[in-house]
Amino acid sequence: MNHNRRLSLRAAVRIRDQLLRLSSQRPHVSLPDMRWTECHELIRRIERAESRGWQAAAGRLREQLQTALRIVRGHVDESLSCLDRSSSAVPALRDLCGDVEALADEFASVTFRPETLSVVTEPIVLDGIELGSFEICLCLKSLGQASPYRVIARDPHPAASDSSATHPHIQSEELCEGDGRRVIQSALVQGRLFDFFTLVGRILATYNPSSAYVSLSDWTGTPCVDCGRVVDDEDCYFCEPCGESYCSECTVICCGCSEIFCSQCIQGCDGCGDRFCRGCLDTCADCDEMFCRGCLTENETCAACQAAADEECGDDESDTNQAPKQNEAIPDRGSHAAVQPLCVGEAAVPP
Amino acid sequence: MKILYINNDGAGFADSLEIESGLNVAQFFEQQMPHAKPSDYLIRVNRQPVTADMQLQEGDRVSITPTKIEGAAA
Repeated sequence: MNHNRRLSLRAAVRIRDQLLRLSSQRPHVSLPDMRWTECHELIRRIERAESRGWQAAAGRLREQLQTALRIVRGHVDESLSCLDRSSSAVPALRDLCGDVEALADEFASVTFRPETLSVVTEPIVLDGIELGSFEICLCLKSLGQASPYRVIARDPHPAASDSSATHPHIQSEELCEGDGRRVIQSALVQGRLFDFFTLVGRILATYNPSSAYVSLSDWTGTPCVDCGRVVDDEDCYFCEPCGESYCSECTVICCGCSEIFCSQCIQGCDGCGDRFCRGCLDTCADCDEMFCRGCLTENETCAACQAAADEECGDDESDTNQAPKQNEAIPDRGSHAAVQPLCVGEAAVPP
Repeated sequence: MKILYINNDGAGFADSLEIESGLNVAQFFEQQMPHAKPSDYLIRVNRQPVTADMQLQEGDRVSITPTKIEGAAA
């Protein structure tokens, strides 16, 4: 007996043992009562929201209802699988062995480990996007459970916006079977492993643009850090201060240096309101607000502070013309009074 | 003669089927899937690809699997 045949036989024996163990278990069938009640409640709330014209709320509730119904469907499918398994005959060892042997002709490689049977597909290309090859790894201990297999990218080319999406219909190594869900379950329940791996392989080789975790049109590019949109490199801009990439709609041009920045690294001048980067803004020496260079005086103060200072200077000049009498209290000019070099005369001494 | 017929279209099923002797793969497909095109399916006999004119034998395992099965996003 050659090496491959021995491996196939070992795999078939292990799989048959597991299927026999599963078929001898009393089927545990339960109904999703709580989830069903939740669906009823969601429908009631949707009807109430619609009657009050709260369309946005109704939309969100409908999404929650979709999720809840999918969970109910999964629960019912699992119960059906339990019942199917209990009524299905376990395949003969000869058939299981034939399935495992035939996998080598259908896939690039087949590997049997004590707890897993894996095949590797040829490299997958969908709509010109190379996704690499995938390992379909069936966990033998998990046979009988809802998702007994994982699909692992061998040479990952994940979506730019989601590193866990290695294929439009895979997220975190879990394939969303879509149209293939029932037939895959049927193949697993009946122990038709060749059919199971072939079916998963066909789903990987098919692109469904209407229901993908990430569309192939958004697969490559750079995600904007702000809005999350994936854009081509030509439409991608780099913000130097924060070191992140943004799309054209999430960037602003500095009115001072004309460089491109993100909305966080640019702010408005407190004087004119135009938007400048931090390098093109300075603080007023008096009020510490941010102004562009055009809105600051030679004294590095803003117009308002300069005007206030000018007014004080004018007051000081009139005070100089009326020198205080002896023993007369000097009026309190406030703690912000400053010596004005242009005003000849006296200045109030702060207390 | 009796064969095992596995249809992996839709919900899928596998069952023994009594067919006439001398039937070839193309004729069998036409009988079982009269509105479908063979090019849209992987047709395997005993898990091997075969030609359309191959005659079916007693005990053959015939499987028909769509080439395109659409996945989804959960």
